[in-house]
Amino acid sequence: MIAAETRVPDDAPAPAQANAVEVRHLSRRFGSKLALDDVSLSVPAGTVLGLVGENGAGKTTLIRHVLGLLKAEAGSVDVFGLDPALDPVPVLSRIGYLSEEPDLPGWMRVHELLRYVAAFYPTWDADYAERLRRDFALDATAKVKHLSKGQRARAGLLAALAYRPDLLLLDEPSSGLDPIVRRDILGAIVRTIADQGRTVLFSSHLLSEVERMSDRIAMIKSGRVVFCGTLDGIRARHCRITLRLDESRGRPPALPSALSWEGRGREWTAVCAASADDARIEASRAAAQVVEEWTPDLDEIFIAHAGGKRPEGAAT
Amino acid sequence: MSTRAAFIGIGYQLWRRSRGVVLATAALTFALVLVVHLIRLPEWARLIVLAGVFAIGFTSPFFIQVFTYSGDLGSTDSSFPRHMMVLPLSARALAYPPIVYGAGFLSALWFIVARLVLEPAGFHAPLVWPALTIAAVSAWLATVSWMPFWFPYARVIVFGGIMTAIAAFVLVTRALAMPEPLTIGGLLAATALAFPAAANGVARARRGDGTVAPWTARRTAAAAPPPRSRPFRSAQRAQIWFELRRNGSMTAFFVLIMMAFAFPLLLMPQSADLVDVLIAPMPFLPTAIFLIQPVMWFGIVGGNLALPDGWKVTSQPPAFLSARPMSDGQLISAKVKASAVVVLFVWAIVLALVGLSMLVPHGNRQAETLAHFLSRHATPRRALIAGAALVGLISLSWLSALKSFAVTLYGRKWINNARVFGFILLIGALGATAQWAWTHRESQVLPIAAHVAAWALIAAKIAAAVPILFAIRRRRIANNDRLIVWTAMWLLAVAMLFGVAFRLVPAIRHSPIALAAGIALVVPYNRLIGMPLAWHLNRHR
Repeated sequence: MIAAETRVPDDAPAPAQANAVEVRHLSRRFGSKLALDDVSLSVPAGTVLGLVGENGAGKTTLIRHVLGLLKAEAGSVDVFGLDPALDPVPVLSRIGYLSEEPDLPGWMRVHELLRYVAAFYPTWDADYAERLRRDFALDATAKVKHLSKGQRARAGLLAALAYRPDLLLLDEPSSGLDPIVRRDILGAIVRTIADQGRTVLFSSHLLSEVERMSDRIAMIKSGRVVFCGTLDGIRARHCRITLRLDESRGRPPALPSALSWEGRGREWTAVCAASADDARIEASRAAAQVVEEWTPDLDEIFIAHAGGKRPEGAAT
Repeated sequence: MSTRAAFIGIGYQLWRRSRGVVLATAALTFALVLVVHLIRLPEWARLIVLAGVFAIGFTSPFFIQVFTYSGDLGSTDSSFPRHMMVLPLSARALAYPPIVYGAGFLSALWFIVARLVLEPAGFHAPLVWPALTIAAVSAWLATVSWMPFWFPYARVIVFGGIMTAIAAFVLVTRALAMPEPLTIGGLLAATALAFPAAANGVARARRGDGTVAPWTARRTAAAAPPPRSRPFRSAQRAQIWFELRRNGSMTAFFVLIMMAFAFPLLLMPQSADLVDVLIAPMPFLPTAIFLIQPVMWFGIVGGNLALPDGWKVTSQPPAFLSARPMSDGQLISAKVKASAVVVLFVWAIVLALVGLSMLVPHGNRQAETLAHFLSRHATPRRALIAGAALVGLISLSWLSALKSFAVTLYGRKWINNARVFGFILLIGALGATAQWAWTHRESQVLPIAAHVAAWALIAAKIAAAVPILFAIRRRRIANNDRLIVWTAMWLLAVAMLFGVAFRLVPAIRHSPIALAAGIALVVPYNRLIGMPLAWHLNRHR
């Protein structure tokens, strides 16, 4: 597959309701690497935002800014109207966070972990914590370091959920969870939280999971937000078309909105960052005939955006 | 992979981990060797050489940690690195190289220092049996660290027992003037025994054995109800518990282990060669040296009480800790309180050990000397001075630990490394300055230079305080009221120390301004008020 790159502006402005998270023109550099580049993103309260992107795209860096563990070099981050790096206590007391890293203290036993975490949150619900512990099949007397990777992820999730946070931040929660917990428990929890008017921001590599759980989806590539909006909105702004040319060519035709190309000779297929109508107009200008068109799924859109460099001679 | 390849590979790994400190230690040793061989040392300069030898000794905890891969001593798991267990090597090939390198390096270091520094400087230091004692201790520390145990802290008990056995063997054979080959043979046997024991420990840890007692009933996950425990009364109580469990126990254990090494000093008969030279004129010197050690060890490892994740120097604190809704000040307060608990715990044991040493017959007769001294010289004033000195030593131990907190909390490795080099440089600079001052003691320049240096340091201290205070305010770490309280507490501490020194030591009454300036310099201000700022800068990068 040949890929091309076009930046699509944020297509769905945040609704009128208050935003739990508001990121404006955020940039962050680690040495020579630009980890976040002018990122603007809002997460309305009571919604689930799924963050997708390749490894190293900047998802964890963005989440750590929302937590206040990284301070904005340029731009700003507001969580519930406060800067999490300047006012960590009121912000963090409303956030439940599951880290991608296995950073729970290995020397603690599960019941000690819960006892310690509970001390920081007046809203800690001991009955709910115990119910989750049983659902997650966690031995209360086991040491964290003796838990498997999945059990550790469950313990972390339990510690992040039991005080019913207003904002749940999950950094790659699926990487440690088995399919049953992921589908039946995590999915149910996330939906329940959103139904209760609370907010979830999670990153994941599993696009099917993101599609299933999210109200809105944002994709980050090389530190920039490539698209952000509802799944239907995103799909409506992309199309997949197959073109037939009059003569055989070694390169695809010039379509400004094309993100990726497949094919050879007279028949080429593109994923475009444009509606089907706009793509048809572009095709006619390139003297190509559209023989097939359909709406791509999130997988295809993601791969088209995340794909390699634009081939030489392709449209700019 | 051959055993030779294992020695090369593991040797390279150990070298990469420790090369900075190895080179610094080698440089200091070489400098001392040059000094004692090229310069005809006056009597007073021998103490400077001894201080240099102590500076070399300060590096031993670092080397012990490197060569033994020691980790959480309270854990039941082996501390042998897991990533090494998957190497295509037998357990023996994995375990032997670090022990050989550790025992070899540390005993060679003693040998070089004793032969090339202490002896030429006029100290008659025994060569072979101390070197072999160091080798045996290092080998067994590694062995016990790598063994899996059924119970938490069983490792500590086992190691304590082995150390006691080695120390008792050496003390008995030397005190009873038994032939040295007997001591040497016993120590060689003890070292040799550590090898198969270490290989066995690594082999069991490698296959996952040894951490569960065979009689422990197997339970299904989640079947066991959570143990009943009362919730913490506050977030800060929870954090103090966390600090004590995570760092406090390890730090206390380490300091007590080092004190255990020094304990024989209290029992040593006065006929011992090296000790006799130093002790004869001052009968309480062994006790004084012993009592000063907690201050020294807390100064060296006390900063680890502030590390966010055990004794691991991490580039950034784990999010588990940083993401807790706790202000920077609250976290520092918990760490400071936990460190006070650790210091008091260690001192309780240290004082018990001193008391115990006085009850041991055939020792250096400390109890008799003390009774004699008290009957002739005891006055309420002297009792007050002694009590103040003890409180001062305990406070100094705590302060020694707290002084390193800001550096540790800042979490940048280069600052930690610079601190080690800075310390070694400081020792050298102090030695050189002392030497210069002694040779030019008649000069009028000396008191003027000392005054200028003292006031320049005070000016530098104030100049450094201003940006720290501004940064604390700008980042909303503390408000003006709190800063005023902190500063008032510092002024109160300085005033109290001034009052005590002025009242109890008549010799320094003639220059009260110099006394006040000295105390103001010694009592840390920037490093204490800078603690929450350092943590803030590490937490929110």
